Amino acid sequence: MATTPTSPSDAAVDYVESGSGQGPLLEVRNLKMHFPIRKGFLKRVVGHVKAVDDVSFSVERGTVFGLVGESGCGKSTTGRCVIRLLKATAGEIVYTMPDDEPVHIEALDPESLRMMRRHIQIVFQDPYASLNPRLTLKQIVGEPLVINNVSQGQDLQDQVAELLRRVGLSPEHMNRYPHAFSGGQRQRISLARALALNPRFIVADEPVSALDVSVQAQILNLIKDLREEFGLTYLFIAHNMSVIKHICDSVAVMYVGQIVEMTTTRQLFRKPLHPYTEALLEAIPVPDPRRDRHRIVLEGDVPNPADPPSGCYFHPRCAYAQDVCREETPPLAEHAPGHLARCHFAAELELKGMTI
Amino acid sequence: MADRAETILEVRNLHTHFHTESGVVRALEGVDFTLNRGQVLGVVGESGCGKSVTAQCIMNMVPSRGRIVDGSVIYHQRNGQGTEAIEITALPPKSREMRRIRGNEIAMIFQEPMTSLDPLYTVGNQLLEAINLHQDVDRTEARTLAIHSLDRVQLPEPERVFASYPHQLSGGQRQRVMIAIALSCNPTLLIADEPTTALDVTTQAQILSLMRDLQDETHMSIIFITHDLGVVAEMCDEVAVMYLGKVVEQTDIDTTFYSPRHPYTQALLRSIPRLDDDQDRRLEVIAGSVPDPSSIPSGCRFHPRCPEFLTGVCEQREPVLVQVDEGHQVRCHLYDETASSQPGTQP
Amino acid sequence: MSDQSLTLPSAVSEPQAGEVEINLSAGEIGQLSLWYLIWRRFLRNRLAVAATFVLLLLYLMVALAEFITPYDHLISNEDFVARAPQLPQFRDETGQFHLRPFVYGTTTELDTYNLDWVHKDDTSQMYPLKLFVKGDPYKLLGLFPSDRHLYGVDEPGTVFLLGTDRLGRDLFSRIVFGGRISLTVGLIGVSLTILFGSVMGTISGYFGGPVDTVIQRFIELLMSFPSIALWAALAAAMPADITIVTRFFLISIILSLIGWTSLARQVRAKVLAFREMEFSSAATAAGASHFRIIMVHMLPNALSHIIVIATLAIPGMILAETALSFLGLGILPPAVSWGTLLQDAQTVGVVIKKPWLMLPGAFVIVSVLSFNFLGDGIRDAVDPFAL
Repeated sequence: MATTPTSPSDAAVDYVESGSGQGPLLEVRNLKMHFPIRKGFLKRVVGHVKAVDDVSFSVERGTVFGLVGESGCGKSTTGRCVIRLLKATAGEIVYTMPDDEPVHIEALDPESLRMMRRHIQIVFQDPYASLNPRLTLKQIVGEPLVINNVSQGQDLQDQVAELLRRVGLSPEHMNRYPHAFSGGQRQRISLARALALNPRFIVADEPVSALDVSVQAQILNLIKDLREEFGLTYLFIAHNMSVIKHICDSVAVMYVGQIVEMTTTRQLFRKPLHPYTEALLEAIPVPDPRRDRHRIVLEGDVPNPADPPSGCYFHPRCAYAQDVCREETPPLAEHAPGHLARCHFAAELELKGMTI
Repeated sequence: MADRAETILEVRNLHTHFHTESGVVRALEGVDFTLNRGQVLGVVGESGCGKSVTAQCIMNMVPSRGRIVDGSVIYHQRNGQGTEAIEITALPPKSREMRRIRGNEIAMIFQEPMTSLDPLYTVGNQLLEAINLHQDVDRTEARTLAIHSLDRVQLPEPERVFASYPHQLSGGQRQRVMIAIALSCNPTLLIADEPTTALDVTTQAQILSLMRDLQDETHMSIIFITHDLGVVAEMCDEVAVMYLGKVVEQTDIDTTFYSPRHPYTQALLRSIPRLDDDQDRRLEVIAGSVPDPSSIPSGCRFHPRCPEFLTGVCEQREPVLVQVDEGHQVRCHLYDETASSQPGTQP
Repeated sequence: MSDQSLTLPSAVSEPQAGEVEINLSAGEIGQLSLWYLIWRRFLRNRLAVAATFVLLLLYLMVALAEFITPYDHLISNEDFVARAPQLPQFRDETGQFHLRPFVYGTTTELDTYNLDWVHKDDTSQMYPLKLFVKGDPYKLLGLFPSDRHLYGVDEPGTVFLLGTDRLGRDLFSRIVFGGRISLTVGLIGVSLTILFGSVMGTISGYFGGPVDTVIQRFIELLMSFPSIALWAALAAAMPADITIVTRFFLISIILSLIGWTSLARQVRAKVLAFREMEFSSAATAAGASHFRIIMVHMLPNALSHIIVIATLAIPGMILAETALSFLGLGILPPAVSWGTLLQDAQTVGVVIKKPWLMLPGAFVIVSVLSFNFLGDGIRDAVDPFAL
């Protein structure tokens, strides 16, 4: 590493970006995560759940990259593979160090992985399960600093206080336990913990999904502010299209372990190329009673990833499906500059987007 | 609709308290709303506002530690000539009369379709049980009714679903089954407590569309409890906004979204991320978070978070529900002539 | 205003995220640790608190056994074989009230029909009960030499509050000394259980895979043994010439050999749950080692459950020791435990003619129930915070 971050308070200057500062910060190539299905007394492997199946994307520096999809589409699994909470079955995860040196996260040994964890951090969905109830705020937020021998004693206390202030919490509450805090406050604590090691990249796994409406806005604003303040790059995982729209620069839509469409947020909302994206946009309840309530509704359910349909995974629910969709798996192809879609008819269909 | 003006349910000044080890939790402290026959009323609010407790009170199914201390729920039942007012809150919860009302008159569906169905019995068993409880039919008739009700909620292959166990169905299918059970006895009022919160967006769209179709078909009245303003906009005719155990505003759907009066409703609408937003717009936030039910603020419960807080008034006096327009009630000192000399600062 | 767009008043000046003032509703409660909250909840459970007092009393009693008991529990007295309990009296034959309670003397006759000594109260002799009387010398807690006993009567009177056994030894003294072994065998056994159970359970749950499979199959194997038979076999295998203390420790180990299995399973289940909790993932993401995750994030959260399980396991240990000793396989005379005392109550004759010999059983019941109430109380206090 070029430098060792010592204090989160002078975050922006800590990393000497000795490299060119160009190109993506993180590149995921052909990521696969297959969970074996075991049966019987001997626990023989009888099949695989392809939770993530050949996913590739890259995240540019200083941007927010969104992964969106319904439950079971593999978006969270992808996030966990990226920070190596799960070891991917196959594929490459390449992180660019401040000096432009590419690091293959999937191949790191435990010691280098530990060093790597300073660069990439995660914020989880559940504000209740993500904080250990037996520890005080100081212990929770300070844990990364203690583990990595960054600071101790009064120094540690000062840094935790600064981190708490950064996320809008009062440092006086440092000695309190998580049970005294509401969901939104807990998410602030999680953010403070993630920021402790002064990371450059944060995986935010549905950080606002479990929060009250009025609190969601606070946390979304905070995530945006922190990005500017610390020059952070985010991988933002969500199921809510409105949230994605609000915070992401580019988006990948996932369906049954695969990316079905990927482009800039603006482009995706304005002119979707995949019928599933169209359906997702169409399904969002819009808080405007004057909008026409009767809309096309997607039929059926998300298929079981252990036994996906033939051909295009989306064909059983697709309004535009033809014979070829049942037989041939479409490739993720570029149909417009920087706009990829996995659909045989992406070039022909006139899909409905949003007027923005 | 012909019966537009006919009231089906009145909730008046409902107060429900829970006795817990750490003291009395005042879950409901003034819930008032009226529902007209054939309409969909949305009850919106954040966690802890008491929307689910309100539903339990209407069903007269308050958990054992809770007690309705004041107010009433009046259900107007149709019979041969006209309507008969039944005060639900005056009936013993386990009485025969109350059991008849539940199911025959008022039915309920819940948020979690996984836990509302018994995993040990087939969908058919559970559906038949509901039918036999309230209708006097023989076995083949009951079976026909059951299959018909599964068909009515647009489940493909109703015969197969009838013989399935809950775990063999997807979340959306389970919620359809719950709706089929609730509707099997043709209730006139359906209470839906966050029925789509646990579902994915595309499944949620399916269920909402189904409920709209069923409402068009049967003209039943629905109380739709949710925290999602988008769902409210899609589903409801009337909206009651709740905050910390009180209804703070009730009016029709259009007014709720286009000219809300209560600062909480206004702030809530401003704080949600919207699809038609400019991406660089900062979301406006409501400061702080919903207080713990054990430490409720004095005066108006929203005052510590309220942008239009009037010093000396809001923290001292509890506002009352004021009629600001035809069919538009607001619980706020801004509109209460007696509370402040200053009229509403409405744009 | 236009009707086509949402017209919302925007009176609020937007607070910056970093400046949002957070009002804590929970107030000072936030400062309190979960342990303190658990303690407060526990105090609300009257039965559990009462059980705690009973247990404290019992343990205090056995700790100060030499002082509490009026006689040496090993000294036999052929003049008072199997004497019935001498109950303290306030009213004498003439109906006169005495403020200081007294006991009667003893007359002994030979029942020529049954060929048995029969002891009766001799109402002509009255011995007032006295506190802090001089008696047999002892060392309190093994440290302080003394010859004072909590209560007693002047010679030649006797005070056998709970009667005597078939060698004329004071039953109360024997029960108190027996409690020393019976009540501590549970504690030592449970400590060992906690040690084996949490270590094996944590390893099994945290590392999973083949390690887990091996440990789980081994536990199933141990659990499938008939426990009494296994204990009996192991106890019978102990050499006969070992000291009382060694024998006592070996018995504790034997009891915990099987006891740890259920604890290990429950700890494993907890650890499996915690492993999936996001706070342990967050620690992994921060670079924490396996050891740190186990020690900081798993065990402290599992601790409350371990305490509950352990408390509820103690009565089983007490009963097991009693059963073994009752069968003559556990503690051997001259050492006393509640189990060996109950050996005297094995025949129907005793039950009918000398029912007081069953009193050690009452102590077993009281202590077992108290531990159960205590365990239930802790469980109820812990549950609201269960993860």
